[in-house]
Amino acid sequence: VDTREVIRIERDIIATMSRTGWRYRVGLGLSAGMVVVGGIAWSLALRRGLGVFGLNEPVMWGALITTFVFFIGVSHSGTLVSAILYFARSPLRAAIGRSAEAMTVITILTAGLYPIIHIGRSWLFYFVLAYPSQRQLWPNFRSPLTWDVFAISSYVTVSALFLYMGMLPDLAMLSRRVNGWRRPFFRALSLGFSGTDAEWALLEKAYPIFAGVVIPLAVSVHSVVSWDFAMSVMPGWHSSIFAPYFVAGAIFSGIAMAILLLAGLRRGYRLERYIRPGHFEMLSKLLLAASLVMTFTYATEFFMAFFHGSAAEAEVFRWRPTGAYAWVFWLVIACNSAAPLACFWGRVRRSLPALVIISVLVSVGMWFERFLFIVTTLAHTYLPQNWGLYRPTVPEVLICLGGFGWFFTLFLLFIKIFPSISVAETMEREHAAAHSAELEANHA
Amino acid sequence: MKKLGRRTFLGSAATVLGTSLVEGCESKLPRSMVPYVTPPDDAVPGLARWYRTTCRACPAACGMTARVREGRAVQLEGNPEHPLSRGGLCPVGQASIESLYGPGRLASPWAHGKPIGWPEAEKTLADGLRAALDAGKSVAVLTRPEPGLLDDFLVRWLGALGQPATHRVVFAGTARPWLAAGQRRALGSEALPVPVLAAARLILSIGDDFVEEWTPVESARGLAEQRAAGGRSLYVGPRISLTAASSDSWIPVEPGSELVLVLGLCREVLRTAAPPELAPALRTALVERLAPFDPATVGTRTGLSPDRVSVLARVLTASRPGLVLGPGRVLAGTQADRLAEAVMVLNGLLGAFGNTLRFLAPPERPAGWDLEELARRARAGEIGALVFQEVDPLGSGAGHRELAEALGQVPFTAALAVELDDTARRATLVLPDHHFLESWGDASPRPGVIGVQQPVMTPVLDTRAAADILLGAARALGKTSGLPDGTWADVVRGVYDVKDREHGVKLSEASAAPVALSGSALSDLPVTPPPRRGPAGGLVLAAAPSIRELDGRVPRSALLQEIPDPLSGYAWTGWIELHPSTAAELGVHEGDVVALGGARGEVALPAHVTSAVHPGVAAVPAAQAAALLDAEALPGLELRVSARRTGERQPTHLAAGGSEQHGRELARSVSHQLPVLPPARPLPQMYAPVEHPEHRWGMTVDLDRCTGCGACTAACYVENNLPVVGAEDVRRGRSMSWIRIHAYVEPGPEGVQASLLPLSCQHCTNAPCEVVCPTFATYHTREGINAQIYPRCIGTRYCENNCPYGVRRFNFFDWPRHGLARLGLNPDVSVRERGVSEKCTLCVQRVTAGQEQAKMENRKVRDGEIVSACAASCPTRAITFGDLRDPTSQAARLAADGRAYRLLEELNTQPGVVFLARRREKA
Repeated sequence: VDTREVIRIERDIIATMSRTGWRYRVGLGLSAGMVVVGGIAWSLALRRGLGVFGLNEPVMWGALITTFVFFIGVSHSGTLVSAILYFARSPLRAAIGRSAEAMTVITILTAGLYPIIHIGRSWLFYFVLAYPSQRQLWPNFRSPLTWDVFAISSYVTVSALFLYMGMLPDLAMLSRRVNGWRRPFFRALSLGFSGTDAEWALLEKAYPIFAGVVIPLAVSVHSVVSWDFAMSVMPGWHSSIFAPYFVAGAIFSGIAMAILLLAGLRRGYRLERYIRPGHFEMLSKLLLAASLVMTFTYATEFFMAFFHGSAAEAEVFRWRPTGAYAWVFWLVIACNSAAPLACFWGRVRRSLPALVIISVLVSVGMWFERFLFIVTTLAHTYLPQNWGLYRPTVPEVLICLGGFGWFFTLFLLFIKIFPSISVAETMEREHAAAHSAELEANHA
Repeated sequence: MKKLGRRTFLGSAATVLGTSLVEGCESKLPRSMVPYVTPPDDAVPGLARWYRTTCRACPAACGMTARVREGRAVQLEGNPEHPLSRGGLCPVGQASIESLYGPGRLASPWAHGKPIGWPEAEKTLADGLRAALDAGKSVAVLTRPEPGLLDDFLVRWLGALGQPATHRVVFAGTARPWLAAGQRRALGSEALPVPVLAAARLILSIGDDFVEEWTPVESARGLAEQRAAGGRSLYVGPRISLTAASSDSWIPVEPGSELVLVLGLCREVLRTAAPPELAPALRTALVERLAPFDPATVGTRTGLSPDRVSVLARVLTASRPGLVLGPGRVLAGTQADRLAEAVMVLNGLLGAFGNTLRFLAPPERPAGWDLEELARRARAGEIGALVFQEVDPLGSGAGHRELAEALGQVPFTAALAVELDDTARRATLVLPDHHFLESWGDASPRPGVIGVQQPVMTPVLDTRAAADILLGAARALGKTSGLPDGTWADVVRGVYDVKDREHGVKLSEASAAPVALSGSALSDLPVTPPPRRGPAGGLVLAAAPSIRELDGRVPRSALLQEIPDPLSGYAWTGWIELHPSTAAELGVHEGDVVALGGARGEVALPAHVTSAVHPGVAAVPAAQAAALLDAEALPGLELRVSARRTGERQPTHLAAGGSEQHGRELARSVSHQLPVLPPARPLPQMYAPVEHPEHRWGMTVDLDRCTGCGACTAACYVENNLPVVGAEDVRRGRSMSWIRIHAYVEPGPEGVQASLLPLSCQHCTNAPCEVVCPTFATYHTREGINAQIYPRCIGTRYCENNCPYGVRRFNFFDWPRHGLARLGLNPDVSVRERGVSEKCTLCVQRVTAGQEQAKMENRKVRDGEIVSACAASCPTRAITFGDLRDPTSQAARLAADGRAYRLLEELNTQPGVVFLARRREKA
């Protein structure tokens, strides 16, 4: 590979870290502002009590748990997609792997906030952790919430390590190229990685292990989150389809979020060379496939509800498309089942604006999908005299928006501090491409 | 010296405790918020003591037992020896603990809108009375019904001031003068009728909401026993009240045609089965008088089919002895006298006299003016001083307008009151009286029964007994002839000895009064439709009495406001019941605020659309209906009101829910003929069955007995320190009640019927809430209680989501609890902080206390020794607490009954609360 090419790659990627345009500043300011407003809203709940939320007697979980599940879902695309792409040796990985993995870690960090905000006594959240306490009491291992704690903490640990490992060579390389505070910072983080063959060999051995672990973990974490609902006795929740349904939903919403982030990165940092239209087309095909799976799941749920003969279950599914939350139901169907069908057309798949619109719709649809199944089930349980309705209040909405602010703040900080595209892999790919071109030329 | 052994010690301790039970409350305790720093010798900190007294929250005067901890009353129950209540206590009685520590209580005398000291108040009172006497004007006392010593005292006090007994005016919110008038016409007798519900094979209620008004505790118990003995009951009226819901069927007739129906029934009964004792002449006369009321005519007028009328008559004749009750306040119109007369005749024809309807010689009391007379004389300037004794005539409903106007002509008014009510606000001088739980006294609800009233604790505030205040004034004026020498307490103690006070009630034989149908019964029957005042085409106004407002007043009690009306679901507000067809005509939906326009004004209330009301009727709680009326008289389905939508909405939380069961068989029923449910199939389960090695505490709830009065809910609030959350949060579905009455209104084989289902935590053996709690804040005890450890709860609310019964509550806020109210907290139950989940604990504090007692006495817990607060208060004994593991316990025996079922059995939660299906007519 010629040196100029190497320098250009390095320069482009270092530029994402050093160049701070007004768009970035405004974006970061807005995101951080949302965090502050959300924090104020949370402080209100902490001071006065959860009564400031719209929650009530039948509907004890609402917008906050919806947002929790949403972010856990989004987290999926990242590491899972990156790991799958790694095993598939996909050229796409070099472009999107890093930001996808970062997104995973950040979304889990965001999602993890919600259960803490949502519980009645947030200051005692550590009661759910399994630690040897003076009370000699472990958490209840029969509770899906305890499983959640284990599943999510394992997932975030492995995802973070996966991200970090992949970043090691970059950090080592960049620590020599960058100036200022990043130089010692990157050097410390690079753990003395100097790029020797032995080190590369070790990394190549360790990396697939993480990639291999992270895939089943990603599947399991979303299955476990689904069991929060499926393990209950509530009509509309207690269903064996929930685990695959959640995994499919997570991949679905994760892909949508990946498309949005990549589109943003590509435009913001002029990375058209690295993130190519073909990448988006591949993602859009995945999106379409996931959407079809979701539609099938919705249909199955309805079929099962009327097939298995529980009056309460049938009532919940009769009520969803016709009751007080019918608009949510039809919004979900429009966004998740109808809109992605446009990806059957090649022109749509190759049109970045169209894909962005579809992805936004899917993200909105997936948030409301979680809202729909959480709220409609709780609102229509077994005893008709217990039925009720729920509407989020302003503090709840602000806390949900604050979570998005938190997510974008962390993500913007990440791409500013760390290389958002893998330098090593990009070079590897360029190298391979150049090599094969050379070989072809020789043959010729 | 003889050593003090354990036996001696326990013996003397018991003696001390025994004497303390009767004399303990006389200890001179400091008047501070904390009753004492150094406790009196006989009070053991941490041990509760029980005092018998008499409830004066309403005129029914039931027996009451107060539980006192560290010198403060914390919980109330009924007095099992009292023949009216027999251990039960209604929600209004329960709420008196709240009024005892109520924020509205007067802490000192008031004059001219500000507090004054007692010396000044005494002087003002004496001066006011002296001025009236000097001016040669009358002194009058307006008192609530005081059937006992205080009434005699008031008459004597007036006598000492030189006033005749007629100046003692009795104001009774729930008086039903039409009953006496009707009886006079039918029987020519002034005897006091005492219905014996339990003895009747069939009870026919003509709009008489007997489980909600009058003496609800006694009547509800009577009804429960009557049903348990296989009796049936029918209800005729414009709407399904709790009484109608507790009956076998509701017979809706055209509003105002109730009289025609009763006369038609009289005719049929007379024709087919006249009692042999009926004098032939009277029989002939009655046959002639009733001739126009043939089933066809009656059918046309009432809207029932002629067959139904005949069948009804046949059922009545076939189920002797029967009992016909009514009319109640909902029918209290201009025809009420005649309706009462017809009802009495029907009772006579059914052989009720002496069997199901006994008559006692009425107590002799000097008659006083009525309220109109008092108002007239006041306006004429004849009254120089007027004393209000525990009455609020100006605050009752919309107030007694004539009296309110006349008050301006009375130079001096003094109110003896517990709270600063509407009347006290207008009085020249307000004198704070003791709460009845702090007072000496007595009340005789009927001849032969005297409830003894003793203070259960020293007064919380600087108050004085009403009689002592009046005595002081008389002494200051030097007019004491015929008045007692000592204090009021001395007077009462002089009459009732220690034993009477221990029993709380004094019984004697009441002399029966013989009655027979009078020859002139039904002699003038003007059967024209009752007058309908108001706009043509408007809605017929029905004033629905409620147990929450026994004497027609809007309850002041926040607790009673907080407990929703079981049938409509509304709390903290009145409501308007409209039939779906009527609502459709008006374009009104559930929760829309509708303004009803009457002769006097407008009342805007949310609409409750239900098939439990006759089409064309607007049923409104009596207290709110009063605001629509131009006089004190109740409308009795004779007032038409206009209705319009205001555009506002104020739905209850329940509006989102269903009033129907959607075929889910929640409140189940069985037929009278075969009261057995199909047995439940045991379901497979993955985990090993839960063992209960010693006890399995549980409850049975007999739906056949429940009248939905809400006493269980009120008792639970008081016992378990449940917070009152207020109108806004109740509407948002955050009421904290641990036990609620669910009511389902549905079409049944004999028309629309309501089913009541009191629902608390079911204490499941396989509790869905327990497995999902990550912190073990909720778990299953070895004794079957689904327990909640508040300090471990972090408030994930997963348990609340996973409870199929929806009985868990969440503390959304630290609910405020101010001042005196803290004194009424039960020290055995922790007050929960915000952010934790809570629910029925099966009164674990009572279970523990009972077990400790048994352990101290080295024996096993006896069945019936431990009773949860709800079960203890239940007037009908619908709830039975006990050890379900012990097959000999009452609860276990009931749980083995053919009517027993568990709610949502198909979920295999295996609840520890067992319901007994209601007996109903089955198609």
